[in-house]
Amino acid sequence: MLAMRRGVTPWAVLQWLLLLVASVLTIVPIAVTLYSSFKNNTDFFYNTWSLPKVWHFENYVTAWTDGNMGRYFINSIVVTVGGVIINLLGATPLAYALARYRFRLNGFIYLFVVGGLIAPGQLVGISLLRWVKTLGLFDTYFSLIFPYAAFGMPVAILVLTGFFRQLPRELEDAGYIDGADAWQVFVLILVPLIRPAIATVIIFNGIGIWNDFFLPLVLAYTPEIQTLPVGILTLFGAYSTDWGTVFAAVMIASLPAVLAYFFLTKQFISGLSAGAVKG
Amino acid sequence: MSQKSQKLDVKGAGYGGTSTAIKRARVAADDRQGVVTGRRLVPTYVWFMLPGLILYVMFFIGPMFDAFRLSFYDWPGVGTTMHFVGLRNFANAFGDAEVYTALWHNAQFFIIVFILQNTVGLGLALLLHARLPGYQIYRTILYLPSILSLIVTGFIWELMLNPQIGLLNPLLQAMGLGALQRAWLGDPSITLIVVILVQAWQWMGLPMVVYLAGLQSIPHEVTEAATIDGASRWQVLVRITFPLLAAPFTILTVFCFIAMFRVFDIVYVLGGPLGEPDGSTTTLGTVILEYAFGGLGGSGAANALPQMSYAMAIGVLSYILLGVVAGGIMLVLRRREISFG
Repeated sequence: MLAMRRGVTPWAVLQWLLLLVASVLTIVPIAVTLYSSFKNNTDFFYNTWSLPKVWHFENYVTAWTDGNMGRYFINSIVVTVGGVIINLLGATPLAYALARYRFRLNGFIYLFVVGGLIAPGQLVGISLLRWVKTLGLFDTYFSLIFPYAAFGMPVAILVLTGFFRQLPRELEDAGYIDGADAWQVFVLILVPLIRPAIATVIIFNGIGIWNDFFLPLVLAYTPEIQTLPVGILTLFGAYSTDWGTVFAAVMIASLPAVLAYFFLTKQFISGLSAGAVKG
Repeated sequence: MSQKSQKLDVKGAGYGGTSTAIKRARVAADDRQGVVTGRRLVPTYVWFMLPGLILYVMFFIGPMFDAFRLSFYDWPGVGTTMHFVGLRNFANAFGDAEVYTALWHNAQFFIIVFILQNTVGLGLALLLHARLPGYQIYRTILYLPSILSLIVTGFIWELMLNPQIGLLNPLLQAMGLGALQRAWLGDPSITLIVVILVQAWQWMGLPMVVYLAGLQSIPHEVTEAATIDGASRWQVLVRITFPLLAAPFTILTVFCFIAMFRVFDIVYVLGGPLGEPDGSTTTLGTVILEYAFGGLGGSGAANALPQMSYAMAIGVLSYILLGVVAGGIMLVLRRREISFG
């Protein structure tokens, strides 16, 4: 019986084929976009499904330089890295305090921050325009970095607080006995121990910021600070007759995230569903 | 040597409550902290929380309340003229056909994606859970769209569906199904469905991995016991497995609801800021943006002038609606959850 089960049954073959079909439907559009980014317009219109007759690598050069994707790329990196770091600088000690210290407002503050998960991002977004202008941040990287750091707070607190709560208290006590103060205990003993949770937060917020379209659309008005998703649409507005360049830009915008995903698939999958699984 | 005795002390604390030595050490640590912070007028935890809370209040809660406040004014979004108009914006929103149309479009997003996540998404999770050869490669591929931005997703599908360069119509032609060719993104009767399916294509990875995690948390003994008792594969699935997936079902339903009523990017790429063709793909997000900034480039839309306060009122109303319905869904669904926790 057991051997039968382990052997190839028609049912297993059917399941395997269903997975194959789903994977083809997933990968084919992406793969076609990838090789189409090397086509010129003639190829687009006359060799629809086939590989490019000549590989036009210059599409990428055009997108990067004339299409300004190089600039958007740098902006995306600055804003993503800045947003993630500032978020963690604020969220990690906050999560630690909420996980470890008992005080009257603890439960309220936790809900106050985590409740932001269901807050209306678009409403906050359009309101932020006036806000960052008042603060004098308009047209600087900080007009995106600070809001992203704040938007990432609910998930960061959700994940980090849960992780801090699991750490044994004895670790801190050992530090106190050795004469460390609360900040030293926190930075030198606890933060290194919650690295997996920090990685989860970095992936979740990092991908969220890298892919976000709404905030740069309503807050970033010049190419000097606009990020890739808005950049693609700007380029599309100017190069809509040159599809190869447009799809080269699309590939440039996705490549870093996709490469990171292939190297760290497990961390990405658990990291990006962290909100759902923890909640 | 002294380290050894400390370790012992610490262990002792774990069993019999906090020992005096540790309490003293904690007080001493607090005192050292106090020197820095001014004689413990402010407890240490406040300093831990301050940076994060300031950031969150300044760039999230603050602008949100500002939006609530401004929704009672007639501020157009530029200049300093504004008058308090009470509930007028809200009353107008209730009578705004464009808002209702958009709401209905959002509802269709939710209904279709909800059905797909509980059929396709759950199905893929079950298939992956069978751990057939190569399932890890399949999982990596199937989750890939979740990494892509919706702007990128939109362009990928533009390449499939665009009237000039689209690959789907020539494919149908080649397969002898030429009669099925459509203007996928230019026909008001089908474009919304097409856009929803593209959104679903990008969304499906989430329910897949969340259901998969749920399946992996079900103890083997439970399903095996049922099989030994003579339950068929189908009976095990319906009577045992599905009820045990109630918790992921709840959270995925709420997530899907919130996400689909916020849907914006994919519509903006495939339907444009005004939800083309003929406003058949507008959503709450595009309507709010259209009112807030006045038709975005003025393509002859009815709302050429910006009405920021009005847009905010729509945002506030939809937020209240969303919060209430999402909370309700959560309450109802939580009741039917069973767990081994």
